[in-house]
Amino acid sequence: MLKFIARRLLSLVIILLVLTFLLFLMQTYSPIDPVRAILGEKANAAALAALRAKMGLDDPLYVQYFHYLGGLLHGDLGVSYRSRQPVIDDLKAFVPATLELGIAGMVIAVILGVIFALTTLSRSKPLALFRGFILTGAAAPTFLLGVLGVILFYKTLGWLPASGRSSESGHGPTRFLLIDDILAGNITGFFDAIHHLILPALCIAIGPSLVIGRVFASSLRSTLDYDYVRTAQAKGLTGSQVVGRHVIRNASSPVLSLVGLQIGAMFAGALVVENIFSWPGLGLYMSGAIGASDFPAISAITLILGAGYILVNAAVDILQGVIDPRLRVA
Amino acid sequence: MSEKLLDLDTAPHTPPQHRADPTSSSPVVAISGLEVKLTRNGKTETVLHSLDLDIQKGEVLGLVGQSGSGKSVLGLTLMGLLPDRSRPEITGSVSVCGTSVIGASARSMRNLRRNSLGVIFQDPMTSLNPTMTIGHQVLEAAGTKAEALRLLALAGISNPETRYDAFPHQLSGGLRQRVMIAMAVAGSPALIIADEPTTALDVTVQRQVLDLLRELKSQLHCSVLMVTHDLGVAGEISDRIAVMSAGRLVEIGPAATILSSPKHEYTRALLASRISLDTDKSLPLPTFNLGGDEPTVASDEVFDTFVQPPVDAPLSVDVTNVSKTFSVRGKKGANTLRALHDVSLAIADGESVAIVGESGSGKSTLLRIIAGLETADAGVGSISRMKGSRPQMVFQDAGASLTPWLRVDEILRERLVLENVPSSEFAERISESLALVGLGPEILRVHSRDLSGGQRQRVALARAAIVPPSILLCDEPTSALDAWMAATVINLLRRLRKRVGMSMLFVTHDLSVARVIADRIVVMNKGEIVEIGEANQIIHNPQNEYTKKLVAAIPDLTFAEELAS
Amino acid sequence: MTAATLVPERMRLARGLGGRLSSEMLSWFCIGLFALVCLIVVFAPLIAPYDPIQPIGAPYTPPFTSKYILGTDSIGRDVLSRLIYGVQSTWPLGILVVVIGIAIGGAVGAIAGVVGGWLDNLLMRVTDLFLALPAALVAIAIVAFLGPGTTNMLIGISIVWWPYFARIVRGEVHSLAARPHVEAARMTGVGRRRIATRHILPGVVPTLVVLASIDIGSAILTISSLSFLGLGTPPPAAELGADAAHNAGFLLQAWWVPVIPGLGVLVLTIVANLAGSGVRNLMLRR
Repeated sequence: MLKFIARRLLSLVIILLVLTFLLFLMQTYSPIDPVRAILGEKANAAALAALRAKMGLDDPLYVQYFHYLGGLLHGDLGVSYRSRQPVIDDLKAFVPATLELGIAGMVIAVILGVIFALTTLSRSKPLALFRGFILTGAAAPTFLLGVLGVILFYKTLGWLPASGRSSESGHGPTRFLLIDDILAGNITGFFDAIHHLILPALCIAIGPSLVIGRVFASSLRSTLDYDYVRTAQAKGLTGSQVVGRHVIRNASSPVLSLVGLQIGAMFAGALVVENIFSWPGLGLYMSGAIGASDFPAISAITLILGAGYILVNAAVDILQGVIDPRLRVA
Repeated sequence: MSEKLLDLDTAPHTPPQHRADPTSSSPVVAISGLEVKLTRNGKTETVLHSLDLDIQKGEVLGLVGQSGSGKSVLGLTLMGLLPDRSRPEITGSVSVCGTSVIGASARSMRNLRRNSLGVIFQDPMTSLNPTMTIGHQVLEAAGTKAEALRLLALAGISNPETRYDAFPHQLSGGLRQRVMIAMAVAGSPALIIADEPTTALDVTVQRQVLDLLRELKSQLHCSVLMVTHDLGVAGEISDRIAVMSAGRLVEIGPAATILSSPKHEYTRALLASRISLDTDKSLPLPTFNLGGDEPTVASDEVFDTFVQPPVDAPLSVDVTNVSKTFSVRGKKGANTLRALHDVSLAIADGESVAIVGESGSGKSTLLRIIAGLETADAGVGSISRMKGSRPQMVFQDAGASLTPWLRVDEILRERLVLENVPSSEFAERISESLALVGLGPEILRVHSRDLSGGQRQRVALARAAIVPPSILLCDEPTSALDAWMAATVINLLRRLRKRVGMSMLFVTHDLSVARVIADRIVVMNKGEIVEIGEANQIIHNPQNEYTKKLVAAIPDLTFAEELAS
Repeated sequence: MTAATLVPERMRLARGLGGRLSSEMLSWFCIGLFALVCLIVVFAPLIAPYDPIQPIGAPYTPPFTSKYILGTDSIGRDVLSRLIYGVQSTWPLGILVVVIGIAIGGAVGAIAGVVGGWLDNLLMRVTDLFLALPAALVAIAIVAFLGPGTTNMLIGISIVWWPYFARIVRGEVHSLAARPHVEAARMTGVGRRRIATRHILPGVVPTLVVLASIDIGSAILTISSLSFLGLGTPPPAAELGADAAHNAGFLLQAWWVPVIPGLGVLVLTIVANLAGSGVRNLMLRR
């Protein structure tokens, strides 16, 4: 078991290195000269050369890469071309916002997915309607869901807010509004934040929820067909005992890895949806960065979200090994 | 989703109400006028027709039939475990231990299963939950850990304490089936339903499991329903035998009577197509087409019972000191598995040799090394090509050995081209080889994926024989087949050998089949050859201890006949 | 991270409508819809009533109220014409991404599977690394660095699209190669190259066709997302994602301007998914 975990951790490190190397290469070969971007178009040649030497841009490529890696380890994500500030300072406010959105989206996606899977096992009409909603929603681009959501729930019904994370300003210690509000005992603020969260989280959850639902449904069905489920029934266990001990555990294994993988789609959806809901997170920041060719910012965002994705998936892999002893040897 | 699974009420432990009253002599199972309809692939079929059957207290009833006869459906009906997906419609009356099964509530069926029934399924690998320790799985049936350990010990598992925390994939097939048996006998059931419990096991393990079942049965005074396709297995353990065909009960009676003087024509056919240790080698095996769509090739050929090659005959296979180890990824990193150790074998031209062994004996590895599909780590294997043609192989799943998207004529032509047969001879060779295996020319334009199972067998044989191979290698070609189909294939192979005059090397786990097809038998165990000898010699006068064990383990009808006389 | 667990990220393939179709007629009908969209793409200049770039009427004319059937946008351009030209830019791109993905991934997978040995190891290690990265994010980063535009978008998405196909094809080749019919061919004396081309690779084609046809919908969704983030052709070119993005701020005043291109993407995805299911059904029937 320890060896299994060690092997997973090793591959985690390798994948993270590949991601950083890719981003480093892209940054190095981007069409924009970072020195000029920082000093501006009118800077003189001597100043450019001086800064170039100071930033280590004259060093061989591998030296630059190690500098870059070393910087990352110390939290140095580069300097934004736009704000002329370290990217890490800009991101401090945005990362918790996007993470909160992503986690809320994942929770909704799993709930919807599980419901979807269970409805496929029944023939009732209203459930078919629910399935139709998820099926159509998953074929729609995230931005359409956002736009329609605003029109319906904000403009027409007036139930939900259409922009921002909360009606109040300011932030608490963690910058996760839900956690901060709980820490501060601010009940109204907590529900206000949830109120703001529902619509954007729902928009990014629908696509992944269908994937989760489909896989869980087929996994449930095939697990129910296994001989050992029949054995469990033959022992005279009750339905809930059979499902609880012999079906759910074995059927959830593929779903678990899928949840990890869907985080990638979830983050991409968040980048889009934040623009519609003026959600002050990485997506909004990313759009600005793309418009201004702010490469350090783009690469930092990709790195943070990518690393999150990779970490979660490594954790899921290890968790699966704990659930299913057969996977440990592979 | 099964309704029974969604029925999530939680009242698992109601006291046993339906335990058969030990003083009464009422049957444990009483079936009358049972009819079962199942819907499969959108078609509703009657799988069991007006069935009447009783199982008495303490009786072992053998339920025998070929695949598709409905024998397993009957077992599942008794337990109320027919899959809901096949929308079973059950009429008639079925009473198990006093509970009327038809229309019974999910809860009373559950209580019946928990308190009065035990079940053993065919494949212990898939029938055990792979993510749960065997201890926990037995515990579910046993109730307490002490009882679970007692049951494991009762089922003949040594060191139950250490094995308690093992996962199913860490045990051998025989041990896994013992775990299933431990669960089946939990709570001393009145009836144990065993659905082909030994079919997936090696013959010596099958012997142990049968002995265990017999012993447990007399200890627990329970009844057993033994569902099997093998009359030999049924004869070993049963008091009475019921024979099923196409959903109907064709004959039932005391085991000895059924085996020695069967009344029904189907039972006679089943008995006759069973290959045993004293089947006449010189005649084609009787093939009865029992409901299949395959033509029965009538044949009055006479085969040689033994070919003694001349001492100076050229060798067609010459293998010396071959060893092979596989590296297996195990729990503790890479392990090595010794598949073959220092094996030597020579086969003379024109000779037929069978390699017999249990799973893991290395018999298939040896065959594959000879075929050139695997390379040996050490030693030399050579196949003479003096006849100019390559060796050919008949695979266990002969159908899968045809490329699905190629037409039959493309498959046959490929071999002719590669053996440098002049293209002017193609048409003649093709029609000859098809005639040899009993196929017409219309089959040439058919893609092999569209052929029936039997046609594929024949096409595969035609491909092998279209240019006489230096040697025909056969890898368990009959093990997955029903008895009459196996007999057909064996007859075809023997006919090919006679007409084409090739040598043959036949790998099988079945000594009876080996004896019929081979002049000499090679017995392998744990990667080594333990005995080589003339076929009848090996069977009737084995020298090696392992060979003796193997011969003794074969379920045989002779003792039943002795009982009858 | 094992590759087997990573492949399902693209199980969003066939997401949305079009999961299961039953009859053969219906399958052909869905494939017909696919062909219809292709016709619209080819004849876009003839079908579109107005120039998509030039303003032709009053800004924010609502749909179904004037001769501009779907209304006009913020500077008075015809929304219907922009929709048609948007389809013209998105649809072929979606097909192209999948075709390129199949070409690269299929080649890598087939070579790895057929040749085996160290080359298989190397190719699959690389594939696994790509699969372990979050595809959509990496695509966004690549296009952002290369600069916005259709070609760069094609490059960026294709780079993350092929590994999935490589995995599947390689797995399929391996499972076919382990089948007895390949061993039988070897025993017949068929050479390595011919075994690959005649006894293995033809068996991969149906799987590949089905996967590809089901995957186009996913590609279209990804493309429209990137376009929404401003990574497609710069304005004033008509593009579905970008048109929605530019007008999302006005959605309370003129809902139709962002909604219609979004619905366009929805319809394209559904058509692609339906056609994919149709192809799968017809292939399974064989």
